[in-house]
Order: sequence, then structure tokens, then C-alpha cells
Amino acid sequence: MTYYFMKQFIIKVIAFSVLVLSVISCVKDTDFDQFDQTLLTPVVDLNLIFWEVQAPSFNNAGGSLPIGTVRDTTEIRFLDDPDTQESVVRADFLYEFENTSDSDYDLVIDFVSLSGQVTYTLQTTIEAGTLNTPWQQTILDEIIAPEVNDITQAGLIAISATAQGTPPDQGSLKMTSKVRFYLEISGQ
Amino acid sequence: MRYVTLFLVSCLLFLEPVFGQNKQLIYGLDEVPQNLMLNPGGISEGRAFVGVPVLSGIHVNGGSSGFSLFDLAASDGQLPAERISGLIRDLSDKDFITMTQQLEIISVGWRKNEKTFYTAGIYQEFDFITYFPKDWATLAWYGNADYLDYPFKFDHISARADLLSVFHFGINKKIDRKWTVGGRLKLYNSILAGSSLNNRGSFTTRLSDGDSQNIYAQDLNNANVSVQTSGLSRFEGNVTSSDILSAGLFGGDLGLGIDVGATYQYDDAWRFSASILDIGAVVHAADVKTYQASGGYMLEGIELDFPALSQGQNAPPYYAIFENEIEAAVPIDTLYSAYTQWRPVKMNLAASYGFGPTAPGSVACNCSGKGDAYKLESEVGLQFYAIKRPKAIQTALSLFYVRRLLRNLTLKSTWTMDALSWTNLGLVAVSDLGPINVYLAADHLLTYSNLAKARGASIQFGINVKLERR
Repeated sequence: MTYYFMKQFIIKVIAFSVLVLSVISCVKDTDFDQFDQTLLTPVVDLNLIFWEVQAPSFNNAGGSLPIGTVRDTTEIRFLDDPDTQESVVRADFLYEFENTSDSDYDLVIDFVSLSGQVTYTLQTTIEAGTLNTPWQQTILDEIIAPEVNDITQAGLIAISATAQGTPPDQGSLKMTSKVRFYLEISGQ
Repeated sequence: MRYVTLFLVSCLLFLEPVFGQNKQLIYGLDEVPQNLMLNPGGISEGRAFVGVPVLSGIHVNGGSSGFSLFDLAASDGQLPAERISGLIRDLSDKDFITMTQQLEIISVGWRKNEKTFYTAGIYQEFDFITYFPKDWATLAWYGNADYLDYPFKFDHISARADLLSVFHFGINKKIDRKWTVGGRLKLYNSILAGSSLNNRGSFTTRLSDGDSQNIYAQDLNNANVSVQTSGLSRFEGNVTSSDILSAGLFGGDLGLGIDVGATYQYDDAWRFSASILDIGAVVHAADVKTYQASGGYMLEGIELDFPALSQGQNAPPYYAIFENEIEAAVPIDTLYSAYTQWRPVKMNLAASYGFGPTAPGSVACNCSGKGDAYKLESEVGLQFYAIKRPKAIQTALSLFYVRRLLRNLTLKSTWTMDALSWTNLGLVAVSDLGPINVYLAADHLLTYSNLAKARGASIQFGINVKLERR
């Protein structure tokens, strides 16, 4: 009889424990839905394009461009990527120029869609320098929404430089560049 | 007496919103046959036992060393972005998230004679650990703009997951009244495995110092990152239950291992024990895929040449050239060669001191002092546990108290300090209902009122049929 009661007692204790556990053990004071509105906001710096054109290139009559003008184009495929288009809210382009030739230049940077349409343009003038005292110029182009969409629709960058007056015969024109993307990536 | 017992049980069980467990709770607890799985040289009781198939040993354990769900997702009005920023700041690349699950499919033990006890069985195990990839979480959360000159290190990526079945046979031998030793041979059958370990190299953005022609020198330095997998294709397409069954029964990659252990019963009160488990390895030979990227590259950007082009001529494919340069400098290869992985070896050490009267139901006195040590009502002791993990050996120290309350009811409580928590209280209840042996164990009891605040939780449950000695 005692054994029977003991067994009943143990069963009850265990059953009660499981019951209490299942009732009291819980996850509370948390809200996982809040992450639906959470944004990752990384700021990413990337090298972009660099080049140096020697003065004789502006005098090259062999190409299809007029004397005094150089032009080149490259794909920038990551720009028109759907993820980039969705998440870039601001793009700061930093261009650094160094001119050691004795000519001023009209410089145009076109962002072009893959269908050939210019979506955004930056124009500037680079002043003349000398071999011993290069002209240095920095341009910071801050592009925020909604204009930044013009950038992220582009898949190509085309750069042209045109010497004002007589093309130079010595020195070079040089550009380095980087872009700082401000991203907003949704938690959803 | 009945009311006193009820009071004690209530106090212990409901010390805090109850229930929790850890394997330290089962270690050294002779009343649970599965204690031999933790120490093949442990004390074996009874004539034989048979675990109820798939119910004799169920163990689930999960935790994080650095944060709880509450730390991450508390509904306290704080902006989630602030909380995530705080976690990224506070966690280190040594913090980890772990998850282990074991299921005994077959478990039996039988006594050959007074001194020898055999065990055998099959269990399934899933084990997962990932370290917090601090540098890459920082890069994803903040970007690199404010981290010039900081090397984002690939060794912060470290993770491993294993799904396997284990076939085992063990011998437990009582040498004399003081020494019991044991060993177990294990045949591992890896069903699915994946890991990314021993990565190296870094990515740094810094202002160019002549080492780059552009504004930044973005340096992918000596990178070597790999992901090893085996058994993945078994789970592609239409997977049937017979596919899973055949993979679980010698259909995977095989390995061998051993467990060893010993118990030294100094006298009726003092007992010392130790065991080392899973000394072994799995050779992943079939259905192996290793993805590996290695090399270095200075990311300068795209260099334009301004060539003189004729009408209709296209500019050089700079972007494709740029991509090709990266692919050539840091090739991503898929390898199919076999690899060997050591199992995470574990160690248990324990010292215990028994006191009080003899346990209910046991012989009243070891009067001659020559027989087996007799079981006392209470026991206190210290246990040490260690497991080798990819980045470090993780350890835990437990203080325990065993109380044999009734002839058929034993409780063991533990206070464990480990990487997850310093306030981990655990409790196991073992009961013999006739030949039916039932145990239920859980730990992190203090957090059961709100599991979101727990850094870890584990539960263990089993039912066996025990045959007592004639």
C-alpha cells in the first residue's frame, strides 16, 4: 500500500513539475517584429576610376575624336544592380585631379545607362599647371535621393577631357576617384 | 516525514520557475543508466537495462556565450539599431552560439558477471557551433568608411555543424573495490557535415601610400577562406525517409572513436572519477565538396587608358579585365578530395563526498569494510567539464548536491559556471517506478520564468527498463 502511495506521489510530483514548467517557462518581454523596421546603414568606401593621360595623347589625330579631346568609357556593373538601386540613398563621389600640362581642360563625367542614355553628368574645368607646380583640384560631388537614382540607373561611366586652345605637348592630366555609398538595407 | 519530503521536493523543484538540465547533471549519477555514456568507467547498477527506443535519451542544448534573446530583442523601447550596435561593440570573436541535440535510438546494457557490464546502442547527434564573426558583422553594420587602416580578419569566420549517427559498444569493468574502469568503441556515421575553420587573411582600406595608384589602397591580404561540406547532395531533390534511413545506417562517411573513463572509490565517502569522450575522427570521403578562395589583391579600382579609337571601335572591356584580375588573384576552387575531421573531444572530472545515513533502500552498513562502498543519502562534489571547440577549449565547473530522498527518488542539483553563465542552476529527478527508470533534467532554472533572458537552456529526458540484480 505504501509503495502504491509513493508511486502515486512521484507521478504527481513529476506531472505537476511538467505542468508548472509548461505554464511558467516562456519567452516574454521580447518583440521580434521590431526588426522589420530595422535598417542596416553601412557606409562603404570604394576606389572607383583612375587614369593619367600624357599630353601627346591630346594631339593624336589617328582616332575618331577631334584633336585636343580624349574620351574613354567603362562599365560599372555594380551600379545598376537591383540590390544597389534599392539600398543606395546617397553617393559621395570624390575626384582628385592633377594637371602638369600648360592647358586648361573641360572635363565631363557622364553616367550612362546600358541603353546609352546619359542619366547624370558632372562638368568641370581643370586649370593649367606646370611640371614643377602641378595644379591640384578636388571635387566632392554629393548626390542624395532622389537624384542618386540617376546614378544607380547607370551601368557605364564615360569621361572626356578637352584641352582649351592649343593642345599641350608636355605634362599630363591625372585623375583618381573614390565613391562613398550610404546604404540602407531593410531588415524585411 | 511525508510532509517534510513534499516540502523538500517542492523547494528543490520550484526553487525558481523550475526545470533545466545539463549533462553535468547525469554525470556520476549511478541511478541513470546513461551515466555510463558520460563515463564508461562509471558505476553500473542492476543486472541489465533496456532503453525505450528513441525515448531513452533525449538531449537538447542551446546557448550563446555573449547575449540572450532579451539582449537582442527586448521590447523595452530602446531602438533595435542601438541594441545591435551595442552587441556588436561588446561581443568578441570568441563569443559563440551553440546547439546540440542527441537522441538515443537503441540503448542496452547487460551484466556478464559481478565485475563486467556491457553497453551497446545507437544514437543520433547534431552539433553546431558558430563564433561571432565580429569583424564582418562590423563591416556589414557600419561599413568600412570609419574603419580606415583596420584589418577585417577572416579568422573571425569560424563555424561547424555535424549530423551523425553513432554505433557504440562499451565494457565496464570493476577491478577491485576501489577501481572501476571502462572503455567504449564508437563507429561514427556522418550523415551531413559542414565547416568553415582555420580561415586567415584580412581586408584593409587605407589611404594610398604609394602602394596603390588610386586614393585608397584596399588590400585583400593573404586570404584563405574555405567551406568544407560532405553529404549535402543526399539532401538535394526529393529526399525520402528511406534515403535518410540509409544515410543514418552506414550510408555516410565513417569514422572511429573511443571513450575511456575510470572511477576511484577511495572509501565509503570519497569518490573520484574521470572520463575522456570522443577521441576519434571521421574521414569524409564521399560526396565531399570544399569551396576555397585564396590569394591576395590590391583593389585599386578601374584604370582607363584612353586609347585612340577609330569610328565604331569599342573601348577596352575594363570591367571584365578588372573582374578577371580579381578572379586570377583570388581564385575560388571547388575541391573534391577527402578530408579528416576530429570529433570534439570532451573531458569530465569529478570528486564527491558522501555523507549522512545510508540511502533509502540500500544496505544499512558496510560493516566489514571489505564489500562495495555503500550508498549514502547525500553527496556533494565538484565536477569539471571541458570540450575542445574550434577556437578554444570551453570549460565548465559545477558544484553539485545529490539527495536520495526516497527509495525510488533521487535528486541532483548543480550550480554551473561556464562561458554561457555563472549562475546556472540545474536539477535532475530520477525515479524507479518498479522496473521503469525515468529521469528528467534541465538547467538554467533561474531563467525559466523568461527563457528570453537565458544565455542557454538544456533539457534531458529518458525512460529505461532496469532489471535489478537477483
